[in-house]
Amino acid sequence: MYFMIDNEQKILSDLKKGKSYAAAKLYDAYERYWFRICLRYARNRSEAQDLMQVGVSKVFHAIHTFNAEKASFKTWSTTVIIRESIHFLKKHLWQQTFTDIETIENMVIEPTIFEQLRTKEIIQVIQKLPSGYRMIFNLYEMEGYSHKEIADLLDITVGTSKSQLYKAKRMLQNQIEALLNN
Amino acid sequence: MEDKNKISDFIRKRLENFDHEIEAWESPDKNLRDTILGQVKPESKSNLLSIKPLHIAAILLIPIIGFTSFYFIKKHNESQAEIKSIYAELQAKKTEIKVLKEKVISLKNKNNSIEQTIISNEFTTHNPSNNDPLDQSIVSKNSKKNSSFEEGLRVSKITNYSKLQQDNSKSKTEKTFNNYASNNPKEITGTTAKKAKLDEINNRPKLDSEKLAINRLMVSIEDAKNIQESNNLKLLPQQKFDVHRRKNNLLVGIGIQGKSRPFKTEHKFNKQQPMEGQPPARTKLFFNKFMEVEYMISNRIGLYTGFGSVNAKMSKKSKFDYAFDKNNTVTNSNGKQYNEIEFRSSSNLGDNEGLVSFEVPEGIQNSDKINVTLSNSFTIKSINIPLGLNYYFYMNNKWLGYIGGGLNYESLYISKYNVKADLAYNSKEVTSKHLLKQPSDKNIQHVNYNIGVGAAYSINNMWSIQGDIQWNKNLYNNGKKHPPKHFDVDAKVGIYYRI
Repeated sequence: MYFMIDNEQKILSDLKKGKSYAAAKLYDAYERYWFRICLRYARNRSEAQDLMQVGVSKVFHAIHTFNAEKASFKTWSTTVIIRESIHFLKKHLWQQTFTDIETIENMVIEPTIFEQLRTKEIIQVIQKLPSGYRMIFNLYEMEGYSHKEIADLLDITVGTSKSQLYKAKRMLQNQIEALLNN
Repeated sequence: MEDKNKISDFIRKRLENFDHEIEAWESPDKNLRDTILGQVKPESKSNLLSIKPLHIAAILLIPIIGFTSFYFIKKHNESQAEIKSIYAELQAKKTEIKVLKEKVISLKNKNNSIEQTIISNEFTTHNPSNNDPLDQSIVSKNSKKNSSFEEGLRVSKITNYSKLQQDNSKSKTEKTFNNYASNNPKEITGTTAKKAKLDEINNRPKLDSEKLAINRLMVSIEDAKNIQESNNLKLLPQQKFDVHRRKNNLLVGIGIQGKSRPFKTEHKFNKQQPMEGQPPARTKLFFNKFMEVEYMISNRIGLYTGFGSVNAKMSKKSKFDYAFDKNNTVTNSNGKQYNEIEFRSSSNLGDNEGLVSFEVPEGIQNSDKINVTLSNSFTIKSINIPLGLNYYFYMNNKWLGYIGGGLNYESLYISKYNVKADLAYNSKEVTSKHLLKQPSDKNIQHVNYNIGVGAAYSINNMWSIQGDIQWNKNLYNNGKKHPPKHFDVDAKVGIYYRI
């Protein structure tokens, strides 16, 4: 949690008052954390930078709606960035979002093998998932959303969310296996 | 499944771990920082200030209402205490009257008994003389009585007679008797006649003094009745049914209010092109509950304020034809063709932008018409605080009419603004996906001035039903202006209790 900063409450208060130094301090503190979220939702680094731009801009513009009594700034900013990212991706990529991929092979590999992977490689594997799989995998497994919440957010059924998650996990297995074999 | 869950756990742990040296890939480009921070503009203080005075006005209204209520409740309690003391006084008078009445009855009975004794004595011991007016009176009275009553009197005579014999005030009686005997020597012929006459004389002064006492008591009773009647008028004004409202009355009411608000939408395709056949402004009706307090500053004029709240959904559908633009078509990885319609929906209660992506229908040509149905919907929450005057006029025993006017502060909170698009080509539904830009929730504040007419129906002395209709016009609005020729109409009905 090294990205937490001293006097965060004061900085947030100053940001609400429109002091620009506060935005810079928050950005520097949370840059890596926010960007990693964007990397997980994007297809590549370039797209992650687009998500970062729309998401973080939204965080700063909507800062007056942040209520420290309801959630921490980290949690709140994560939610804002994820929602902005989903909106961005839906707008630009939704045609490919929920395409069924029927060629997934049912493979089972030892989880210990994953220990050999680096963080960058894990993110790259996630980025290779189709948009729909990637979003549902991230929302369910990484952010802890329920299938009902995902269904409401993405305007899909709960059943679609469940099946897409299952397929996403199988596809992840395949891709990691392929990566390790190479 | 278990393996896959372990994979998820492993990935989550690895991605949440930042305890390693920063690598180039996990940080965005430096120029992105400048771009984002360049977009952060200090919050405009003027925007905040534009809302503040209304918030302050709304906050100020609360203590004003509080103090006003406190003042009138205090006044009400004082008048209640006064009424209680008058009641206590009245009760004392009533008790006094009761005692006096009992005394009167007792004295009347005693008087009757004495008269009857005299009559019976005359019957049994005295031969009435035609020359004596007293004898003539006794004969006249006794002639009206029946024989059984005479028998009763004869029996009681014996008892009374023995009592009369024990009378000690003989000197005065005898003096009177002597005067009578000297003037009427023929009448006093025997012992029995003499005794009877003595008794009659002996009883005369007593009878007169008691009659005087009765008269004095009757005067007291009349006085007491007058006091009671005057107190009744002060205590129970509401018993006079034609008095529905009085100065210093406080009316507290609750009820239902219907509000009609204009809802005007304008849509543009691809943000620039206005659509043909924009729908006219429509009036939407929703209901709220309200609480109202009215203080009568005179018998006819009441000052009212209160609080109302709304939680309602509003929706509206609009139909347009969209000219298919082949240039917007894209092909995805499956080889399917998609087209997009970008639109902007603008209304007096909020704006929205959306994107509809749809599968290109088979056989469609450039500029062919696609039927688009846009459905606007949102949730509206509001509070309103009125402040105004009503002037009452008498209609009949049960009805009062009134006209009124004042100000109405209204704060509207618009949320969950959504625009849904349904597409059809050649009467066949087109598969589409609606992508909505997340609209921000909106807060609109109005100050309206209004005039209204209404009527009040008295159920009984304390309860009444009151209803009115008010026409509101915007005095201040921090949102978009109302469509021309439209104004807010409020109609309410409630039950009121008069304190």
